[in-house]
Amino acid sequence: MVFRRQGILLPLERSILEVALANDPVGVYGFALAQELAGGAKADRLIAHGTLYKALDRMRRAGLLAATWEDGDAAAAEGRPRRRTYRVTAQGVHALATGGLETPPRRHLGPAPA
Amino acid sequence: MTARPNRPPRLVAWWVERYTATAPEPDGADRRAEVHSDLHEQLAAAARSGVASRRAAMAIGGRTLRGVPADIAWRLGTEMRPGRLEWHLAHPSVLLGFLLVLLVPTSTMLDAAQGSATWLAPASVVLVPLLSILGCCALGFAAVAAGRFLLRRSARPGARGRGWLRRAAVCWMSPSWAAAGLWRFDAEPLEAVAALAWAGFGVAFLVYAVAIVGHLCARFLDLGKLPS
Repeated sequence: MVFRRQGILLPLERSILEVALANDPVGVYGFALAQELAGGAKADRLIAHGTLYKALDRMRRAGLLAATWEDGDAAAAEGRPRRRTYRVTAQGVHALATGGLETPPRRHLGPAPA
Repeated sequence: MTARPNRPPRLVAWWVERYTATAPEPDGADRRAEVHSDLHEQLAAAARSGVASRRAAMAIGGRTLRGVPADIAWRLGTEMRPGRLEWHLAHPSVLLGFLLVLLVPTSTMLDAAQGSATWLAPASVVLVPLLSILGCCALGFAAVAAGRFLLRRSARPGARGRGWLRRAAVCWMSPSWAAAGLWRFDAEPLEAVAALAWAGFGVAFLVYAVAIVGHLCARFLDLGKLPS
């Protein structure tokens, strides 16, 4: 288990920001992100569900990422469940450039950002 | 033996449903939908690249297994979010059940080991008060929840019969577990009361176990359904 220092990006968070930024402005959804993080490795090398979505949730709450649910009709037309797309926010870009957050993330103190 | 290639995704769906069932909304629903989408995407990607379905299912199972500690950490973290105390007061059996499942085996092991394992004595100095504090917290929580319920300050949680059975068992287990704790002090006048309480606890725990097993059986019947 990695114990984070407040305001410092973890290697996984940095990688997620880099992938999301590379896919800007379209954004990236969970499984595609897992594939890109694995760098084309085999399926059994993909990042675990729990690790990935916990990190995404944490980063969204810290304001580094913005998440939007895809339109249900578009997903239904392709015969698949809706995707949740993540895009890097200005704060995320800044964190990536400086290697950390300007202020420590205030977790669980209010309603979650979208 | 016939392989069931879609079994890991079903188990994944079951696991996600389990740890998000009592999570705050919309976080729980979002997590279920995200993992559901992820499972679909991974199976579709495997089919496109000609990977055997059994191998894809094993890969999904492995991803889930490796993520269990993070799932549990995430779920515990959600309990720190605003409004959780209110939610637990309206649904007391969830927290009480969790505490009792933690308390019962530990205190029973301590009781069983006290006579023979002298090495356990130093640990007991810490564990027994800790368990007592946890038990008192559970009792206090149950009292507050019951008070709020009686004062009708919270909505009566609607549930089917199995849910009520589980709640009733938990309500009886909490005081009987505390009363049975008196046994530790070997107080003569209280011994009969403590024995009775301990027996009552056993019955309530059995009822609780039956309710939980019934719930698991019901879940198993639709284990194959992915969350919609």
